[in-house]
Amino acid sequence: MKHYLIIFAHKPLLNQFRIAELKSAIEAEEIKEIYYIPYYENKGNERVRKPIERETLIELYNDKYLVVQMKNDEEAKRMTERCSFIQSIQEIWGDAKDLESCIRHAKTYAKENRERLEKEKEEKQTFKINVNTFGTKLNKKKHFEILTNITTTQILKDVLGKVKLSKPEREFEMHMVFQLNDEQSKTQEENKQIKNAKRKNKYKVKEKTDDMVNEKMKYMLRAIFAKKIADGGREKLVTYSLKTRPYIGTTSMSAELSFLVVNEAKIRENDYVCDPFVGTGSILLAAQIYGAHVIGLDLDIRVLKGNGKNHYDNIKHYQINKNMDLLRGDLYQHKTCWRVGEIFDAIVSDPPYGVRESCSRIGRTEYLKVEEKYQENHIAARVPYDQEEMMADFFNFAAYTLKMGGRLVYWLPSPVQFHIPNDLPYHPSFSLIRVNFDQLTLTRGRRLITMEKTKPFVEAKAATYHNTI
Amino acid sequence: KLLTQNMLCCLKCNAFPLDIQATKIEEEKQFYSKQFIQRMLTRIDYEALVYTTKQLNLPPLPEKMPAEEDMVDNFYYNMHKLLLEIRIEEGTLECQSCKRTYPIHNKICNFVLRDDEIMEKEMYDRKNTLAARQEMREKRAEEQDTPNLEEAEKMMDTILSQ
Repeated sequence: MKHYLIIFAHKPLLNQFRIAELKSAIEAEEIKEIYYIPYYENKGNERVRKPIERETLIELYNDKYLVVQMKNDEEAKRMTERCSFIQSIQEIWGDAKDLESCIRHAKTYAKENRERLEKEKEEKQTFKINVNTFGTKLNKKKHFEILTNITTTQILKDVLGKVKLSKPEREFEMHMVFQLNDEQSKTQEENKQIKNAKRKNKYKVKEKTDDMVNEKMKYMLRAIFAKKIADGGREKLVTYSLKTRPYIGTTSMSAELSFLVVNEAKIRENDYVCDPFVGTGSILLAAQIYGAHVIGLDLDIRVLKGNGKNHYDNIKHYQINKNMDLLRGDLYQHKTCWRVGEIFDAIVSDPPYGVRESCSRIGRTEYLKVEEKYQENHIAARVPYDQEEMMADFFNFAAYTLKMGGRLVYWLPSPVQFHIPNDLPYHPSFSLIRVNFDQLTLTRGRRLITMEKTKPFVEAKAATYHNTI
Repeated sequence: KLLTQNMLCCLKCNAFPLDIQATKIEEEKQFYSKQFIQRMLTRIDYEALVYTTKQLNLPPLPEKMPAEEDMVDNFYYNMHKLLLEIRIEEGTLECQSCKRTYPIHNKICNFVLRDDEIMEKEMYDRKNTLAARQEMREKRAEEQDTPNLEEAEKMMDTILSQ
């Protein structure tokens, strides 16, 4: 079991999803042994370790670093490639409060694992060290001092290898976290005053002397020396972003949120996934990237055909080697027309709630028979689909067609004040796992709800379910 | 795709399987993965597949699914071709019992009933559920007379035996 350092990327509106994504990636890759090691708790020489849960990690919503204990490099790599909020994962060699003690830690680590590290050096001979600071900027002198300190210590010299600055085979990073002085951290008002003064050319910049830099170094909180193992999935956000996609619409979900949905649903290669409210297919595209086969259903045929461009254009653009099957279907009609009980591995969707797309089903308030000559090209009339009825049908459909242990993931619009077990829809064969909140305005937002099928579906009780929501 | 046709029943009468009458078929190559087909073979109705291959005049399949030991790589590859690569571009899906046709246009099937058909179905279902509920009520009324007697007899037996 080794210690690893996870470095998060900073996205102010979506930081809340970080740890949920980590947890869902752990479940998706079936990693069993992973613990969180808080920095400030020590029992003698050993560090205290805790399981990863959101309640213990709420304080870290805005922090950049997270220390974690895992078995392998392999598992660490698999986990980070699924997460789009992680910049990289690194193997910790030294972790302490000062620079010098950090280098001492690194020495002892290198001593203990000498054989393994010398084997690595034979395979990967070139290396590079980056120095990252969180809270200040460093002088060039100090930067150089730190590098020479590390590379001239005896034991580390034997293990590191040759220096190569462009595309080395191993990358090391030296992280230093500083605490901001009271003088340095400025409030919003002070920042505004400075801006106004700059406009009027009255603001003078203080020159930085060596003394000032040394003062800042006194407030160092933490220093970590680590070797990079893998980059996180942030490249995916760039390649699959909506800005370059050929076929999008008003209801398409952004790449970050659709990858989050796919991670929560534990979608792996060779899964069979369904979306009963496809629309433009943004969530299913994310599922296909992870290797799943996909079916999409929608009542609106304009969205399935596309306006010159198609779902299939998306697939060609990203060179995905799978195809998707599309059907025009109404959930109210086809909820009981699937032959076998357990077909799908996961059901993922963003049901319509009447804001950006109309929530309706086929029907009429009064019965009117269509004559035979008009039956082929008849465009059916629509009736508004009651939300409670829709959720009941959706749950029954999912309970009928999902395998045991399969996941149902969907978005629910809800106000900010919300009582979690009582206000959510309930179904006897599903158990609630997690709820994530995405706030859109001051009073409203939408919640991502994941449920897992734990009990089999009883058909006789389907009718009574309508009354329990 | 044939994989989806294997899972669908008629919307009106819940009959299975639906006949395919295709006027245009396209074959697209897809990435072959053995594990996916192994998984799907447990969820497929094999007889329905055999039936549809006969309808579409494709090379015939053995009538019974071979045992797990006899499954050769060739078999998996043939199933992969059948299930995933054949795509029906234009045609119809037809129900055998009520003769309702669902047209397929541009690889998208219009799997939807008209509004008057749905109203008919609702009225039919309502009648059925009403009848079913009345039966349940009658059954419960009958049962309420007997179990109390049986339970009382059991209690008396246990007390007397002590």
